[in-house]
Amino acid sequence: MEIINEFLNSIVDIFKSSGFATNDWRNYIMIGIACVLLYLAIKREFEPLLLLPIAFGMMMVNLYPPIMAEPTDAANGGLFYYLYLGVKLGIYPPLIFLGIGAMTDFGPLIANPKSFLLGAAAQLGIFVTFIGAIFIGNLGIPNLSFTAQEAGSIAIIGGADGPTAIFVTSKLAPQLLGPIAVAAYSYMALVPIIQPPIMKALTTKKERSVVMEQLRPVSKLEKILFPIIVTILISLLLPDAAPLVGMLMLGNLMRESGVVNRISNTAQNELMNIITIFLGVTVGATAKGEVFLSPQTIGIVILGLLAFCFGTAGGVLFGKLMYFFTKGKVNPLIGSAGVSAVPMAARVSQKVGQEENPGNFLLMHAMGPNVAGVIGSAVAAGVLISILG
Amino acid sequence: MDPQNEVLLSLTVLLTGLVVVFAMLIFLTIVIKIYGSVIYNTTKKRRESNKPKVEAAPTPAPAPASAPIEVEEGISGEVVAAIAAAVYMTYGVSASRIRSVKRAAANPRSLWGEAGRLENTRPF
Repeated sequence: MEIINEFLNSIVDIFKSSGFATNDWRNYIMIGIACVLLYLAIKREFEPLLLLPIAFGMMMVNLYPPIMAEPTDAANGGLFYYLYLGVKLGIYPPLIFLGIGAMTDFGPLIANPKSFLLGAAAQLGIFVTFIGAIFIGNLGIPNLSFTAQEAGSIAIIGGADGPTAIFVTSKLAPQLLGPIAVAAYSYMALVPIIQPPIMKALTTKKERSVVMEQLRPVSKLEKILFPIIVTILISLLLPDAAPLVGMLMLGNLMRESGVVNRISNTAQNELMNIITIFLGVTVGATAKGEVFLSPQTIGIVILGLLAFCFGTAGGVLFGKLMYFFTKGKVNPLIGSAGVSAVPMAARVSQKVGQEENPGNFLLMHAMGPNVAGVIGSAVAAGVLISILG
Repeated sequence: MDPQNEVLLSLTVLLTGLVVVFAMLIFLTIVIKIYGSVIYNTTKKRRESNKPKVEAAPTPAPAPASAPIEVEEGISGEVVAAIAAAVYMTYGVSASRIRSVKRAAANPRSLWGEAGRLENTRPF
């Protein structure tokens, strides 16, 4: 009899420590959301490199919350707690930028520096969304209001740049990192669906059919000087943007100099992949049920979409302005690529342009504003951190 | 935050953000345009000055007779043409500068193995 009692007690103890007894209903909803994201990543291939680790991290933390536990006198912290320090301390996003820099060819931007203006105009979404996030509290919906720092972190979703969004949020509003990162990466994956209707609504058939002149060839010396000049100027003028822009340009200098191919290859492949795993899993692990399932998350999702739409519209409208002043030499469709989301947004410009004129190749022209958008959103991030930090 | 402060903060961020982002990127546009055109023009001039000058002559001068290439027996004309093209791509000199084409001493190691070794040891 005593053996049976002990056996039952053991079973009860095991059950009490299991997830079924400790987790609440919100954890199960989050596990469901994580499974949907895994489906989108694997079956639909929506940004799978990031969405897959994010979704898995989300699932893990809701199955076993102590995996993100802080260390105490009695126990060490959870595995993800330590990996998450790279996000919390702002280390991973600049390292991701190092890899992006090593993969990026700034040639189209150097050949046509006016592309910088389109990259600047597409940051409109960030600042318009900031206003929306500040005023959303006046709607009177319970628990739906944001502080200025939180509004700044939500607004940066409009930069369409995951590492920048994480960098700004980790500095201004780390408590919102989960929903902001998930919204930013989800919308980046949805760029081919979000952008074309806005691009078509704001342009005429004639504007979309413009065939742009071929870009001039860019010499190696120009490509080598570009990262050095950009780093010096931006770091001096806006020091808060220096970690992101500096690492982006270091990666690019390693690529263009041609003398450190081994390091350049590591930055593009192994380092980038390792950081992507750590970043994705730990960002996903911030999406605990009790934090994620709130009116604030719904607000972030709506505001994030607005940020993308306004950013696209800003770029296209500025493209129209350039079309007007250059007497029809610039196709306004390349303006939408200024939102970053490299290279997806440039591909969308190419695709929409070819729908009007199958012989039109806008891809290289759109890559200029696209990479300018990366620099533009890093500058916008620096502005937000310096005003709100 | 009271509504007046909300409006003030929103407009400050909107104005400062757009002005700083535009100013910074316009500045970069100007700087890159200037150094780009300086480098482009300099290299263009250099390329033009390096071009051989064409002297005005009523009749075209006969092409200089180039020394025939010594080709080892058993090497086909196609192989020689491929080598000449590779030499041109690598060194930028025409086929007339090639004096001879002959087989190198047989390497006891596998060529792929040698290529791998070179790739790994080149950085050092």
